Amino acid sequence: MQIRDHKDFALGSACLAIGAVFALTATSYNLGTASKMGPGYFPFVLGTLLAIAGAVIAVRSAAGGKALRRLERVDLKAGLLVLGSICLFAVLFDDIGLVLAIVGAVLLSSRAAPDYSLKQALAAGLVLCVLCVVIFAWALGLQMPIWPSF
Amino acid sequence: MDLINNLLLGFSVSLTAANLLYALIGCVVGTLVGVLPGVGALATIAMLLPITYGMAPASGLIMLAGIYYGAQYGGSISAILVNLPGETSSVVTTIDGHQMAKRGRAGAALAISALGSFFAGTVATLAIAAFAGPMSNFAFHFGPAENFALMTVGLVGAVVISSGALSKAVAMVILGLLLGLVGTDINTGTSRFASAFPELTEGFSVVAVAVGLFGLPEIISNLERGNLPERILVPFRSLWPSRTEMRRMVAPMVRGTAIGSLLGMLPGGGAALASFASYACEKKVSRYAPEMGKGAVEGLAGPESANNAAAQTSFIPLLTLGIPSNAVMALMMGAMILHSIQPSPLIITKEPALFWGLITSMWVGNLILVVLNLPLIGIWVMFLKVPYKYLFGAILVFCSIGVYSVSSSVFDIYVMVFFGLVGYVLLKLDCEPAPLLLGFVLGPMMEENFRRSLLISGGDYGVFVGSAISIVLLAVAVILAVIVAVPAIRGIRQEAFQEE
Repeated sequence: MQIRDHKDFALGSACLAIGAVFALTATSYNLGTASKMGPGYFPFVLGTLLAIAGAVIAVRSAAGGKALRRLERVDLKAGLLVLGSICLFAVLFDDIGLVLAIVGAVLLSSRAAPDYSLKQALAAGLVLCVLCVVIFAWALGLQMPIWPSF
Repeated sequence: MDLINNLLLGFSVSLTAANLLYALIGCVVGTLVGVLPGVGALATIAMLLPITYGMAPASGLIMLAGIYYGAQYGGSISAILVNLPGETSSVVTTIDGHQMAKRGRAGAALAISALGSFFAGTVATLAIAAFAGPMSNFAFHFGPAENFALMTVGLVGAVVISSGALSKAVAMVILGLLLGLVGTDINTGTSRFASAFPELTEGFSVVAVAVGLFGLPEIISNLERGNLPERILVPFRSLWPSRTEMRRMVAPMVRGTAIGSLLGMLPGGGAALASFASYACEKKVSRYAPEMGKGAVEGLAGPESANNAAAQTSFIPLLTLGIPSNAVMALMMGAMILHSIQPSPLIITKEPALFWGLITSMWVGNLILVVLNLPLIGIWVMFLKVPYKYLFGAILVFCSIGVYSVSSSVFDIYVMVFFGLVGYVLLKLDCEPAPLLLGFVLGPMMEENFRRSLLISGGDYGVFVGSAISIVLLAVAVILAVIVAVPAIRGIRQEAFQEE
């Protein structure tokens, strides 16, 4: 068997694995019977179906006559910086409030863009802080920590 | 005349000073955010959701609807002026719209887009008003088995209409259904798949899932390309279309409206599909077809009318059957539930003022957009000039605050990051995430109806084919599934998506 479509193979295998995990976990809840279903019944059925669908996708990726399609090389920098800066925002927001969280997230995420100096990012972050405090905290009155509390 | 009474009731709600103001604010901020390239209606709604909190349900929904249309219109502006579609539904607009702009007709293109959208919005509002009652009555007497069958049709439809391989769309729907089940089982109180995270007892937040899947991957892939979306703004002078242009826009506008109104109602349909279909239609029937692609009025007026009509009629299945037909409607449903309104056939009888108020406010919103947007075009343009590098940080922060504010939960921000990762992987594997979100929203309801049907029937699966309605619905689902499996039709379907 030769895999032609690497993307589909990856997707199919992932679905197969995820479906299997859901189905197996579901068996640890009470399955019950069709007339008196337990919490595990429906997820077990769906997990099994997902595993089957995944298997079909994976097997078909090896079918003959398909154009060869490889996984593309991804530059993880942008993704890690974007997702990482949101995580940083979440951590800081909880501990020391909105303003510093915004500055931190904007500074970190700015590293993902070309020609974006830290100075520019700091300025953009500060403008954004003012906007957010005015809109969310003052105008809308959302309850959220703004400054670090000592 | 019931229809007129209903509409009058609706206007008595939507034309109160406060609600008019909310519709206005919704349209303005929706357009402002929608203008930003790479921010679609979905991310816009999620970002702006917090501003609707603390309002009466009717006002909150009216504002959300305004945000939705505003975002839609904002997408057209950036498509025409800078050739950057804000979202899929305005991809087609870039073809002829931007060409028109380049030929010095940018103002006319914006006006045609606004007028076409307004016409389509008016017709679609009437269509909703006419269809809503009968549809709700039809669905009113559904038992759990019929509801289950109906949701099956909805999901199969979503699979059929989504672009890309069917097996992948099926897998995404099932994965979505499963993710929707995470949390506490309402019947027994058992915590499912959530033992590691107590925050998950109520399941994943739909807003966090939606923004993660649709908003973040877009930003990442913009940044990854290295060169940020460049914006060459076309200058424009006169805002008014010439007489010839006016004459030429009428027929495509009417056709586009008809196509959009129909496609918007279909499960899985919506603005994007409608605009592609309308463009394809104009290419076949219009006298000016050879000019299309070089800035023909037809290639702009048709799709712009179609996507607005569809954006509106896709409310029909949500409001009358309680079933969202596409990803944006799935998020709308989440937003309605946040405002403690469960979309179902019951709304129309239980909350007539809210229901008709929302419907009429759609028309009011369209009117506001047409009146407001043309004079304010200078402001939108100013917004368009802000370089992307300053914008994406703001988008990230706004998304995070929007997601957090739903239930003041920092955990939800991590959920968004997780689904951002999922969405990014799906993007890299060329897999459409829309069916996943639909499954996610429908998962708990489907399980509930499935269990109740079998409880009533004592475990007899025959209950799903026990009434004429559910037989017909399931037959529709089966036929839809079979149709796309037929190679010939598959070819047409692929061709339809080829335009992308």
